[in-house]
Amino acid sequence: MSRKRKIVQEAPSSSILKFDEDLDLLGILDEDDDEEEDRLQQKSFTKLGLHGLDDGPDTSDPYYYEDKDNLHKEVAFYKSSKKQTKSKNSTEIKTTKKKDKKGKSKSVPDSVEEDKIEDANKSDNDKKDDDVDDSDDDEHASESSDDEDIFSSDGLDDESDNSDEDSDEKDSDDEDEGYAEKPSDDGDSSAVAEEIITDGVRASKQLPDEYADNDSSDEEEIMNTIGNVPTEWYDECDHIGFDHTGQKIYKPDRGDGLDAFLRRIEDPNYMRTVVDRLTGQDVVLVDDDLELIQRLVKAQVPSAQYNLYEPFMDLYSHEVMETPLSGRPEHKRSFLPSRSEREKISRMVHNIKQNLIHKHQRPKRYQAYDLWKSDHIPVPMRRRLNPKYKAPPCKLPTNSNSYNPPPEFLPTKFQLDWIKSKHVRQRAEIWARLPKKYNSLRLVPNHRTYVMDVFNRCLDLYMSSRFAYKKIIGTSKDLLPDLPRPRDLRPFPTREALQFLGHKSVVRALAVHPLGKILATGSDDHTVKIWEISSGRCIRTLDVGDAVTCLQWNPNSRVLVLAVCVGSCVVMINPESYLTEAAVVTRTNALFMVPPEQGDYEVNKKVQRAVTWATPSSDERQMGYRVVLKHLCPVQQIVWHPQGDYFATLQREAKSSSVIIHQLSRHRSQIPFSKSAIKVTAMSFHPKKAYFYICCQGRVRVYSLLQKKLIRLIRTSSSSEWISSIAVHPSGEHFIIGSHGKRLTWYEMEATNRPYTLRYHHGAVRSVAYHNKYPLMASAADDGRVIVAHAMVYNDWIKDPLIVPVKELRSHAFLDGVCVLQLCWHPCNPVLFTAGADGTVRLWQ
Amino acid sequence: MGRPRNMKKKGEAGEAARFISRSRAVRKLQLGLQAFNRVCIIKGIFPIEPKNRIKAQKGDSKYRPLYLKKDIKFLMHDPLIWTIRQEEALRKKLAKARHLRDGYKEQLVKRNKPIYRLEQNVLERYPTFVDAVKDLGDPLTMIFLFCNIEVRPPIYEHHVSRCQRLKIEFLTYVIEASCLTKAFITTKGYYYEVEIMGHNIVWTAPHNCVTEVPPNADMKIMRHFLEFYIAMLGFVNFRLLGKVDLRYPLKPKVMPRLKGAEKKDLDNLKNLMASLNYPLEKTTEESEENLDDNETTSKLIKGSSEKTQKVYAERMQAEARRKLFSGLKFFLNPECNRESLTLVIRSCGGEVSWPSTVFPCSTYKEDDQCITHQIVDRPNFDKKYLTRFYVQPQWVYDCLNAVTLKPCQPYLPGCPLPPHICPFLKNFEGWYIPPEEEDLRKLLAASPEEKEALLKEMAAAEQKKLAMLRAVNEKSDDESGSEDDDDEDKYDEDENDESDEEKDEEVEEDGDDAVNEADASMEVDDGEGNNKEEEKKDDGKEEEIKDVVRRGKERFYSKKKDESKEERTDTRMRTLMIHKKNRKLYHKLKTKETKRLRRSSMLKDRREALELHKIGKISDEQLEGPPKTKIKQTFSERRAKLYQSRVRSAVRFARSAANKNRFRGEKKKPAIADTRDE
Repeated sequence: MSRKRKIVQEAPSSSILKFDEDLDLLGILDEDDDEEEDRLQQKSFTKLGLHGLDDGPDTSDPYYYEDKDNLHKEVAFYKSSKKQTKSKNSTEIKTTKKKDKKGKSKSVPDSVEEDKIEDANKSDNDKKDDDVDDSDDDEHASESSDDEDIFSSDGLDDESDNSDEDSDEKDSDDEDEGYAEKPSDDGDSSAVAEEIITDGVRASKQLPDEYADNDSSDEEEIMNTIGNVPTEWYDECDHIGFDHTGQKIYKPDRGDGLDAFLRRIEDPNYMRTVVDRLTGQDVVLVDDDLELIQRLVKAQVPSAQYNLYEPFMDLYSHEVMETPLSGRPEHKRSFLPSRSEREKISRMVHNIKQNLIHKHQRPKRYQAYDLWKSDHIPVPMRRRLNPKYKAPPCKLPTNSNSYNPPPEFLPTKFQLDWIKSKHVRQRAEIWARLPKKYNSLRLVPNHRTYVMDVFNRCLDLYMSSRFAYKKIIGTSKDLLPDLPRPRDLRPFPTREALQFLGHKSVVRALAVHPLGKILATGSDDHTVKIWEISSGRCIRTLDVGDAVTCLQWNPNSRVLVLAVCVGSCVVMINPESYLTEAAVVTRTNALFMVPPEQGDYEVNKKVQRAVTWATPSSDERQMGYRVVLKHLCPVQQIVWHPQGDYFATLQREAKSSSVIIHQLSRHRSQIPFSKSAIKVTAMSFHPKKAYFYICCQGRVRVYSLLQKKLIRLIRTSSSSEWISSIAVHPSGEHFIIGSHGKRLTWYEMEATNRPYTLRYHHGAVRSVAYHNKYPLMASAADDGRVIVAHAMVYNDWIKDPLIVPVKELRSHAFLDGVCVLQLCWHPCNPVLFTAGADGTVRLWQ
Repeated sequence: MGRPRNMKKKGEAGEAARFISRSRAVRKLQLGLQAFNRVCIIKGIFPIEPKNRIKAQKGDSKYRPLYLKKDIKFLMHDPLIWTIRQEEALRKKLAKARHLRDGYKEQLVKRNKPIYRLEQNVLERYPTFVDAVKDLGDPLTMIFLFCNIEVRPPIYEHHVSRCQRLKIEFLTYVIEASCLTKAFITTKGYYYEVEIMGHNIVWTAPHNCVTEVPPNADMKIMRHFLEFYIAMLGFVNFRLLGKVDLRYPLKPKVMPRLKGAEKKDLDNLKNLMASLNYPLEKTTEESEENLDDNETTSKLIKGSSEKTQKVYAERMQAEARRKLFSGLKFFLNPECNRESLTLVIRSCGGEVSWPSTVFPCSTYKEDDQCITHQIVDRPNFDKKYLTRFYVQPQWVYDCLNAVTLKPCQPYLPGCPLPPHICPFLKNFEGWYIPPEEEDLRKLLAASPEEKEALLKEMAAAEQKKLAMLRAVNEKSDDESGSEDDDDEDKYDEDENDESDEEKDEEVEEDGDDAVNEADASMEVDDGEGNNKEEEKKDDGKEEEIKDVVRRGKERFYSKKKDESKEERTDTRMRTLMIHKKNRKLYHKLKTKETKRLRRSSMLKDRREALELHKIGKISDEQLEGPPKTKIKQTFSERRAKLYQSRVRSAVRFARSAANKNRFRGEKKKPAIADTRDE
């Protein structure tokens, strides 16, 4: 191996190492590398063979920027890259191009210190490398810069080899490569390498043989032992370092500016002279070095001799070696066919025979054929959709939707202004659906909500609950029940005929005499008035001294007795007048002439406490009082038995004795119900049988007075819990209750579990009444209406009663939210009397 | 202790056992909600309103979608569910393969993606062909929409191309069978009605290509619907095209000679079909069916009951519609909607062509002398040829809807068009019918002989109007404002009428009849007689005598019984007895009807005003000003106003309170400052 090397001592102060010398020597002399670098070398030494050049430098590495490698590194870089595949090479070359450009731009044209330029180049290069090789594997990214260092130092030697090598000496080249792969093979070289490291010179262990080959004169001549310290430390000193004997190596005298200038003019080698900072000497670059640099600049492979496209020899080949590696005879099973395979094959053969194996074929997504075969015959399927749940059709458009509607559909200016006054979002909505007129079909744009409408239809189809109507409802009339017309159900009261004025306060009580000629009313103004119905004249006014809560005529028409509830007393009055028959009056008076003898009848103590039968005073007798029943608590209601002898009184406040049944002829009383908890709100006698109805909270109890037991217990619905009134149909088979829950409930005695509820009142029901003879029913409620209904009851028990509301009557005035308080039918005519809170009584016919 | 034996456990029988909530159904089927929705869409399963929601939900009164348990049980064994589960699993595998960048596996998974065919579902939902035909409206709307929609992930290219193909097939059938009965252009899009096998099917098509899909519209759900509709319409088309003896898939009768480059281009062939104007291959040779039709019609006449006559009239009309444009040659200008017009014209027996630059398959050129009508949608168009009518496209649609060739005069290009009337006639009570629609109704009801006379009449009326207008315009300077007063008077009269009616309402029924019919009415009658005397006496003394009888409220009893009034009371009484369930619905309908009535009267007034305005009897201000009758506030509006006023008062109160506080605060502030200073 021939290596040309010159060391030119240009000036005494500066030692310049010329570049015609071996490049590895340069590397050795390089001062820039410090200990860290060295360490890194060692560290990454082993990695070289593993990773090669794959990895680009990583900016995250702290050593990256500290590292001030120069040209050598680059050279080394290319040297080692030579060993990589072609593609790798090409990418690297690209990066160098970029580097060079950058370097040129930065470099000072006249600068002598080319290594500085190279420094700059290097830093650029690293950055570029980073950019280019970003995509490389992440795993090794952190170590990439280390690797590069190694390449630079390692490759330095290789490069030097290559640059100086003749084409004949391919062996060494081969060797180099071999070493690159297996650096520690050569024991000798490693020893040398160690030596170099101790010298503090950056060198590679990989290529020690070169040192062996090298002439040792280099090492003897200049040997700076400062190690890996920055050369700047010696900038202010006279020396640049120490040789191995400890003697200072003085800086060669580089002369002043004039010298430099002279040198520049005189020295023909000036342009190829570089300063070696480690030795302080000028190094003149040889032609080969220049060529190498030029090649690098051109981004070519540094060595001209290197063949990029050498034939690739595979380590492992397909050729069978003649002699086997082991002489072991093969196992028996290697000669026998595998059983599992045989099974597999037999299965496949079977499948093929059975025609079970096909080529993988995707079924067609769309394929049309005659699915139904016929128009009307249904294909038998497991499930049928119920046609009653068919989706309703889409809404059809109207004239207002036309693109050119009749002018009246278009919004007026006033309407447009109104829309403009709306909030923005609302306005947009309205605007989209507003009728619009386009003068030409071509001008019609896409509708804003078209897609949304289709989407909403989709939502309707799969999300909204469907309900099957039995009949199609087109108009509201379809929903009206099929009932006979009211005009066919006459007679019934239709208009207000008379008003009975005179009471000064609320009229609470009202009763018509069974013969239908006299009307008695009781009011909160402490009076009872007797009216002649036919004329409407007030016959008598009785001042009873307290508010009248209830009054009832004795149903027996042969006597004239009016039972009046005044406070806690019940007074039997005989309202004699010129209208009543004298015989009746006398008969009645005779009835009360002498109190009946009680005999040995012992009055129950409880009853004794609850009721006392008293005879009125003479003044009272003058007024018509015949008997006075004094109760403990105020009496709310009084009911006559249809025969006229018995009557019942109701005191809501008395607990156990709230209902007391009295016998008029014997002046006796009894308390039939001992239960104290129940709160009775209304009661009634059965018109034919000895039954007694009691309405409590949420219950109606029907007692048989003869058997003395409860024969029916009816639970009302929760909405009609508070019963205000009860009316029993004259036939006795039906009864109706009115409740504060705005409901009327019609019960049939035989089927009390299936009542019929009438919901036509909008307020608490105050009073209900059946007509004695006509199939009529009336109810008054706090909504101010009296509703007259046709209530036909059939003898056929299968047939439900026919209830048809026929008339709404209203004319009473409201007082504190109360209007009609009591109503009552005329015993034989279809005439209705109502007593109102406005102090009037009205007659409807 | 415990429950009595005969008592049933809650939720074991009745409504509760019939229904299942959606969340439970989803859990039962082991699907996600989206997958469940998809299954429901494809299988046609929807929630059903129970008769008693509280019972069906086991005591829960909140609204939840309830499905029939039977349906869900049926779904459990459906193969579709398995494919959906498979898809779910494959999706996971695919995601994994993608993550690992395992291209081979990805392909494998993609290849194994299950493709399910929906024919069984189609059969299940439509066991007969007629069922499918009846339900064709929604599918057609959907498919017409998706023909021209942007392709974006949930919707793919193959959907759109398939939709286009199905559309063309269906339109070809409509043209071939000439069963298009109505076409209506709305602001929203085109509405078409066809009659297939005696069923009227209405569908919609958008005006242009849909480029903007609103973000609210969930395209995934639309796609599920679309998938089913595509499958269904494919089978329906197959059968329909078979009925008109067309080969499926469609194929041109004579393959056109295409040049080298065009030959390869499949789009060219597609466009041939899409032109709807190219003869297509048939399965059988043409047979004369018309003879049969005539026979049946003659039969129909023989049995001349009302129903048969109606059917006969309908048939005749269909026949007329089929031959409406026969013998006419149309030429479409490029700005017209080619497809829609071709559909209408060809299904009515006309011939169409267009410039060859617009679309392939133009059969003749613009300079063809045989062209009778040229359709122009531009105001300034040079009329080159005198031998043809230049009309606007609306003419074609109006002709179809009226089943008559309408005069072209009002439809000339550049003319203000007569209003485009909706052919979907409605016969509600109180529905407003504009005069133009009345004309249309007359035309439709008239026999072909009468039609001409009717058309002449209408034209004459129109001319009369025009003449009047002209006359008015000439004299407009002379007469001004004098007529206005008359109009106002007229309005006043109307109002009076209304108020009279109201009075009538108040008047109760005359009770005389009732009294006469009563058994024992004599006494009462007598009483009345007395009453009158009494009244006369009491007039002066009313204050002194307390116990007075007064006659009921003074009212006017008209002997004449107004039947409508009586009916009104009848209905009023019947409303009292409406079943609890129907009461809400009834009131809803009732309000709707009253609203409709109000609207129709408003429209009527507006029309009258417009007419008067034309003549010049009403000024612009009157025309465009606020309506005379106050718009009645709806309940919600009233409530909103009340709410606003309350809010306002509350705010005022709060402000005043705040002011007080501030005042107090000002007083206090210095005190605090003082303490600090100290």
